[in-house]
Parts: sequence; C-alpha cells; structure tokens
Amino acid sequence: MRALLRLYPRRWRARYGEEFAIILAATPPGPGTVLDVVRGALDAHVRETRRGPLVRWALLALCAVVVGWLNLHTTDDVQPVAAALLVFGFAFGVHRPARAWCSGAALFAAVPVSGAWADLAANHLSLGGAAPVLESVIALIPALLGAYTGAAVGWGVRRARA
Amino acid sequence: MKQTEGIGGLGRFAEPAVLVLVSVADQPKHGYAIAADVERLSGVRLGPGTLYGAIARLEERGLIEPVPSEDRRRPYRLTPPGAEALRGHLELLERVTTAGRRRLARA
Repeated sequence: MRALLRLYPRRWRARYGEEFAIILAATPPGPGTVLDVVRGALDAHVRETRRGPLVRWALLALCAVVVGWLNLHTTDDVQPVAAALLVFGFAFGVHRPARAWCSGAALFAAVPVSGAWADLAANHLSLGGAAPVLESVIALIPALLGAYTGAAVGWGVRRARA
Repeated sequence: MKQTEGIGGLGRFAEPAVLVLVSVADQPKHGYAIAADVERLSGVRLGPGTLYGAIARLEERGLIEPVPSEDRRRPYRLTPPGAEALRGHLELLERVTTAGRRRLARA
C-alpha cells in the first residue's frame, strides 16, 4: 500500500507524505482504498500543473513568438534573434534550472518553425526570405547557452540561499 | 465568495472539506483523528486520498493551518478565514434545512 504514495507529485510527498503514509498504513487495504488514493494522486497532479507552470508556459510561448517574429523581420542580421534567445533562455534558465534544456529547446524551436512558416507562405507574402530551416539549427547555440548560463546562475543563487 | 462555488470556492470538493472544517472547529486534530471524527459525526469514511485532497485544498486556501508539533502526525487547526467560511456555509445549510423541513411539513 505504501508504494501508492509514489503516485503523488514529489512536492506533495515532501509536504504530506509522512502523515499520509501513517493514515494509509492504518486504512484497511482493498480496491476502494486503492481507487481513492489513485484518484487523490491524479487530483494532486492536476493541481500541481495548474499552479505556476501554466503562467510559465504562457510566457515561454510569448517569448517564442517574439523570437519567431524577430527571425522573420530581421533576416539580414542574426544578432537580434541570437540576443533574444540568449536573454530569454537565460531568464527561463534562472527561474527553473532543472528545465533549462526544455526552455532552450522551446525557444530555439521558434526559429525553424517561423522559417518553415515563411517558406510555406512565401508565395503569398513577401517576407524577404527567412533563414532556411536547416541552417536555423545554429540558433540552438544561443538558446542553450542562455538557458544553461541562467541555470548555472539559478543553481548558484539557490545554493547560496540554502 | 459565490455560494454556488461551495465553501472556499471548492465546488464539488466542498463536501469532504466541510467535514474536515467541522472536525477541526473545536480543537486541532491530525489526519487520523479527523478521519475518525468525521466517521463518528457523519458516518462518512473518508479515504486517505479524499482526506488529504481536502486537507491540501483547505491549507492552500488558508482555511486551516498546521500546528507546530514534534509528532510525525501534524495536527491542523481552523484559521479565522476558515471559521468565517464555515460559519457562512453552516448558515446556508441551516436556511436550506429549515426551508426543506417547512416544505415537507406542508406536503
């Protein structure tokens, strides 16, 4: 029965795990208890994802849109796109160091996606031709550099506070 | 708070939450004592998942709070906003109960 505790999010377990384990041990085992705990764990996961990360994902999407827009409108000069990837990557890296890879990749994705969109729309719009999709892989460098520099700073700050 | 959202805006999760609030209204209790008290009071046996779902929600909304304790079983007590929310909910239930009794008597 105690293994069921593992179904709950880590943060929830850190907060309630010990007392929950006591009451779980005192509850008669059975399908009803298992169902109740599974339902509780699902509920805890839903509430966990609702808090904070939604805002973070919305901000990440907004920043990715900015990167995509810069990629389409500053095609003669890669510096604004690189600068945006560095700055946004850094900010998200500081905020959630453990998710640096994810943030960097999401921001980088805006470059090939906007490039592909521009290629597709080239017949209808005169966007001046964004960098070809394959060449945009180079944008991974500033995105991940920013994200991991931010993550290093974020980890450093957390360690200093601890 | 809109009454349609239930106590503390808990909606469909309000029922176990109300039972937990009533249970800790007189004195702090830990999870196991709350479950036993609720069962004695209402005949409802709250499973561990339901009980701690309610406790987590109530604590998140500041309606209950843990009492510092050496014991691994942390007791919870009602906060002033929790007392206010419970009072409002019980008044609503009382109005509904009174109206229900009156209508049944006329039927």
